Amino acid sequence: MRISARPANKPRFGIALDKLGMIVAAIVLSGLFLQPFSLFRASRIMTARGIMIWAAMPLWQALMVMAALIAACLLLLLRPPVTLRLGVNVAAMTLLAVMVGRSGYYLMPADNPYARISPGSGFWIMVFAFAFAMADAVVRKQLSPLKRIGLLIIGACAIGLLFYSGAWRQLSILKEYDNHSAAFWREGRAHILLAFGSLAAATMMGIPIGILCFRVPLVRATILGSLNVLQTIPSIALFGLLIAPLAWVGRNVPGAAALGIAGIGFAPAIVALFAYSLLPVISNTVAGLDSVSRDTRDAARGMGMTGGQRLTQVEFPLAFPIILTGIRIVLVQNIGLTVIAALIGAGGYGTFVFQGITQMATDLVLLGVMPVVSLAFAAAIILDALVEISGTGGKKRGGHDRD
Amino acid sequence: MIEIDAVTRLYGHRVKAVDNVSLTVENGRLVVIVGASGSGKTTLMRMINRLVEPSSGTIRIDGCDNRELPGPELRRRIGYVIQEHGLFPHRTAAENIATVPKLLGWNRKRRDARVDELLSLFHLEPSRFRDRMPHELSGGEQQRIGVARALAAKPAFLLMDEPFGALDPSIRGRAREDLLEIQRRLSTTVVLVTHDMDEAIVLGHKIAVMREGRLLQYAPPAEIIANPAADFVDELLGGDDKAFRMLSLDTVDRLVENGPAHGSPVSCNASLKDVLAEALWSGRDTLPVEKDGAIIGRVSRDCLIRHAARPAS
Repeated sequence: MRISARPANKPRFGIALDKLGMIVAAIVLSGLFLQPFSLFRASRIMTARGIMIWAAMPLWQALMVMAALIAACLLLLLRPPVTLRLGVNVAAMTLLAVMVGRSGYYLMPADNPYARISPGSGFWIMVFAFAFAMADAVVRKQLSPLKRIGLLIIGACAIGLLFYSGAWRQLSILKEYDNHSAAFWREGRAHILLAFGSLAAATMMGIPIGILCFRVPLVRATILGSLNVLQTIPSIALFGLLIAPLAWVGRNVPGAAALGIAGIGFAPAIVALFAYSLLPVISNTVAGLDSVSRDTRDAARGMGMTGGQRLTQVEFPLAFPIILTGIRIVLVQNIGLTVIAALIGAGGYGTFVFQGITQMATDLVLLGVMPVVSLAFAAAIILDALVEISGTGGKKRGGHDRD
Repeated sequence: MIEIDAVTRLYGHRVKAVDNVSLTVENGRLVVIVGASGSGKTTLMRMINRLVEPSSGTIRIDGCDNRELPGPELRRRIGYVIQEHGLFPHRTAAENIATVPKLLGWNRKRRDARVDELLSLFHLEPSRFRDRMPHELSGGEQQRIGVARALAAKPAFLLMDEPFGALDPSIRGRAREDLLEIQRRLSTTVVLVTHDMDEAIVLGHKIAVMREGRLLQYAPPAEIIANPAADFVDELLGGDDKAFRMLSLDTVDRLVENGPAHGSPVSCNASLKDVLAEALWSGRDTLPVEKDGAIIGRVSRDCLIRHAARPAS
């Protein structure tokens, strides 16, 4: 039997108030009463005016929402069982998400199609507080990796449902989306291609180089040293540094221009992202192989395994969870860094961010930022789950039939 | 037969880890190499399956130079048990045991049958232990799986590097007895390395004592106790209780004489040491000896004491 690491998680009912619940309640209440729930702008670039929750929707709805949120806070204060806590948080966030959409419909003036309604700081603060409490509940529940991925899929579906049902249609981000919907998906594809493409290239090259570094100490010092230096170059500088050499290659190497190699655009972006990805992949490959104990390695040799058999049957499988951790670091890092790549014309969601900054249109910046944050978040959860599966749950009982 | 012929292993240019050692291990025997850490005992053993290559000298296994086969192929024919067991942590007990058979290309059915056979041989219920991961096993179970893995492809030779070092003292004795029984049953030729002279005396048909790379003495335990070839060997023996060590080597059935005796009988398989202790404790001059439930004679205290004396050399 696998020994379960799950401690008995018994809820304790009592008068003692939950400390985390107190913090969450304080944040929620301040968001509810002190911060505007929605923002109103007469047009996309006008100054925003905050609207408190009781003015952002019909009064009876506002009172019911406030009552519900206060009730949720009280429940969290009493430290209920983890499952109930999870449910309360999910319900509160769903309520907030739906109501912020409703307030869009309520506040949109009929005579001004250029007016913009967006979620205010009160909304964001409350969502943050409940998300924080939910993350805590998820950790305490010690969900299995597959269940965590399942939860992520359910969350993504729920957001997709709100998105397509039109519940948020009157909100400013969605209006920006309507104006840029073709570009949104195009830049999304570019973003994913840059982030995942550079990761795939770095993995395919980094793992063999890591194995080489592990076997040959001299190579290890040289390669890890130079990659460490590379890692210290700020990303924007690295994008800039690559412009000149790649422009030269594009002009002078026959066929390079036809492949899209030029000083700006896709080529320097993917090269720079690849360079950043290489160090974590290589160093984690080396660290993973290093972590295989001497006894295990000696036993493999003593059993009569050849060098290749030792690598594929013993060293690599044991190093794999650590290598996967490196890949997780790279993927999350790349999804963020790709935003910068838009500066040299490589596309991606950064395009909206920088356009939004120059036009002083916050909503457009958000249109670029939200998908990046969601992608990074999803990637982190999925890869964390994979790391856990490969490390501990990978070999279950009955693994005997795996040849 | 393993013939080690004038083997030297240098580290760097001057340090001789093993210095011109020659010894022969006859088939079916259990030879223990004993010495302090740094004495070269492990290096000597590792040269037999070429985990370490000798700087000079040759090692012949059943008459053939061990360099005739490529290293990995040679090692698949020689069982290998290491300190701390060294089980593969990502493989089940069964997969660990089947390592060498799989490398040799045995088919699945044959491997599975062999795994079950070995688990039973080591008193581990196959259906319970087959699919366990190493971290789910106790120290003693891991050690047994380690030995089972080494024996999986039915090697004629077995090398063991401090195989009981990681075990609790309380189960070490049992593990040694199991090894002796299996060695007798399979008549495998075993070379075992240890730093523990007691272990060497309990297990070895012959003991090789090493110090600073040199072989000081290579002889049966009785000879080592009676005539230590050097002060160092004497030191390893611990000086004080040689008489009892001597007695612990023999069983009482050799000293049985005819005649009556009183009191509870002792088994003919008991060691002389245990029988003498019983004679002293119960204050009897003679003790009856039984075999398979029947009294076959008696043994006298004087006779036992005579056997504790240093043999004339």
